Amino acid sequence: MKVITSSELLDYNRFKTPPVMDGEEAIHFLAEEYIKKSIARVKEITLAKSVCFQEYEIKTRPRVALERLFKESIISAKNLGCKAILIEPYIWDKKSSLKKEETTRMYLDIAELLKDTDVTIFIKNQYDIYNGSYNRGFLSDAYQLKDFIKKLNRASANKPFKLALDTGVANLCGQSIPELINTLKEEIGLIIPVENNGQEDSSALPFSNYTNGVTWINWTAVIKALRKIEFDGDILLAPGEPQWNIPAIIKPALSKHIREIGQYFQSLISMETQIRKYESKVLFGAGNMCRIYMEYFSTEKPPLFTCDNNSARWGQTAYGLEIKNPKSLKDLPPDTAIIICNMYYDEIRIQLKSMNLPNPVVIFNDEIL
Amino acid sequence: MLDIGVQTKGVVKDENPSEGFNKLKAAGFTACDFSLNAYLYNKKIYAGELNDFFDKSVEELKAYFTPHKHAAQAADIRINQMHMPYPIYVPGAPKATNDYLQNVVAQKSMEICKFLECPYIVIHGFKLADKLGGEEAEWEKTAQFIDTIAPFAAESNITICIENLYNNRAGHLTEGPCCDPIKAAKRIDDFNNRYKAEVLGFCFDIGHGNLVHLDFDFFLHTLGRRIKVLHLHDNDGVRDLHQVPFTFTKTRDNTSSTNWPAFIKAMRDIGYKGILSFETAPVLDSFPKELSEEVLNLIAGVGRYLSVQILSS
Repeated sequence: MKVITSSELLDYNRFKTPPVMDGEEAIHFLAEEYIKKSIARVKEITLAKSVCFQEYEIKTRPRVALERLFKESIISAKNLGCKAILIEPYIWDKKSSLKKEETTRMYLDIAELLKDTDVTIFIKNQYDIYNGSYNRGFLSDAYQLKDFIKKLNRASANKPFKLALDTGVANLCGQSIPELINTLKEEIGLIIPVENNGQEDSSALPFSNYTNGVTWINWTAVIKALRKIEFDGDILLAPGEPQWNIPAIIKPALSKHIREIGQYFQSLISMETQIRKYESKVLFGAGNMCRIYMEYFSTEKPPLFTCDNNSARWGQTAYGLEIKNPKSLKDLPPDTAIIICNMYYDEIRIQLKSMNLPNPVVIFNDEIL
Repeated sequence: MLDIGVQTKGVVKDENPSEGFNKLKAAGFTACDFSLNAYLYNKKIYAGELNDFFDKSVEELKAYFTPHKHAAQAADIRINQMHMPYPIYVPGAPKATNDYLQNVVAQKSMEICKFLECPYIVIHGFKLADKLGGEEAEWEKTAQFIDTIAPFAAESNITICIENLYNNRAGHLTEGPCCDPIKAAKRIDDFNNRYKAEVLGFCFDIGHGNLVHLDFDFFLHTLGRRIKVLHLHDNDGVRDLHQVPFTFTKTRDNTSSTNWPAFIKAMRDIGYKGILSFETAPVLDSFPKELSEEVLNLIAGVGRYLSVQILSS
């Protein structure tokens, strides 16, 4: 499960410069330059986002030109080695209803363009519009969306289509996101965790807003739902254009903040899967979180022991486990996982790193169980 | 023409039910939605302030509602549906409260429904998805409750109707119980097969549907003939305002923001022949009392419009 932020996303909408829009410069070259500059920083860009157009572009540009640019962005992404492309209906003014036949044709055409590749095509859920109201339609209603993706995959030899679930869109459509995740569990390949107040189409970072003491979206329930379906896709946190207008001096801090949010989601969603992956485990921490771990995983094979930095506790037992000196970790076989059951994750991670241990390290977080 | 109905709340008064039913008749209604829930309000239930209305015996309740029954019959107003008090389960309330709601209020509501010769009673499902970890677990609790009243429903030819509801988080409304039409359809069929009678049906509340942005076309087509009764009203897509249809707009084109055409088309497609019943009691509070007659006339007029549209080929 990867966290993809703006740095790892090849968003072709960045390259809609006037020369590109006028057909005087190829979008592929700008993308290629961008990748060259990015690779040193991020090593790999696996997800691209194709161009889509705003209302004023749709009104002022010939449709043929927009279609050409749309297809060029996809071919460019393919040629630059992107493993997946997030594709939205490129000509939709968000004022009128989305047309199902036209949208189906668009996706099938793209599948044909990419048929000799193993590129994943992510379809993002979209609301429908009726006289200014956001309503569910074939790209948002759970069953219709599931059916839409299945039919597209049946019509395409290599079944490239998967769902990119935008929680902000689901919130606008008044949907229960956990139920949506459960219904679409086979289709979801990418999660876009953003929130809004349910009335305006905006994408705020998770946990950025509270009303009446609660976040706009119940992130606990979302994480639980993703954990329940053993989601192993990727997390996209690239809150679009507004970020580009942020003052340069603030951008590094915001980028770090966004990544940390993504990593929080990654660690909590995959926590149980990660812990259960390892046959042999030990814990680090002999306090309350150790107790909660032992209760939560009570039906499973217990860890070999736990350890703690408090030397007064060495030799005692906690919740059925012997408490050892952390130096005991050096004697472990390399495939034994160390599960950190302590809120000082970062400090303990640094401690373990300084011991040059080859063992996998997993964080146990009791916030969401 | 389909029959047009409206809530009795705000119109039919206990002191003189005849006056209220006659008002409904004069306005053009031929049916009503009997507001049994007005005898034990939801706000009071949530506050733990249960009155003693349902402490009356069944015979006392029958006697209490005899004037209403006769008045409706005299005015030729069909009591086609009623609303059981809700909620019928309060998370966190003392066991005694919830036992009272389910074992006394619900049971006696069914008796009143039978006495008034009313074929449909609308109930609210339990709101427990967050507490129990999912919608399936929530439905299990609602289903257990329905099983306590379904045998009586089967004997008395009453259909219990589950209604699409919403939840509230941070002031934003999202789908609540019975918003999944595929699951609702299956559950209704399962109940009816088990009881070998039409004990369970659906009450489509278009206002609630609008608040959680349902695709009316898909929702109504999926439920089809299982839709037995309606709650017709309108809102701004933000709050549950229970106002007159076509009132709200979101653009300067001034077109209605609720997809009434989709509703009409779907009802036509599924061959709906039931009552077009309005849940618009708050409108009588919005408008000055002096305009009550005109308001009721307007609502009935909207009903006639919808009827013509639904029945047109």
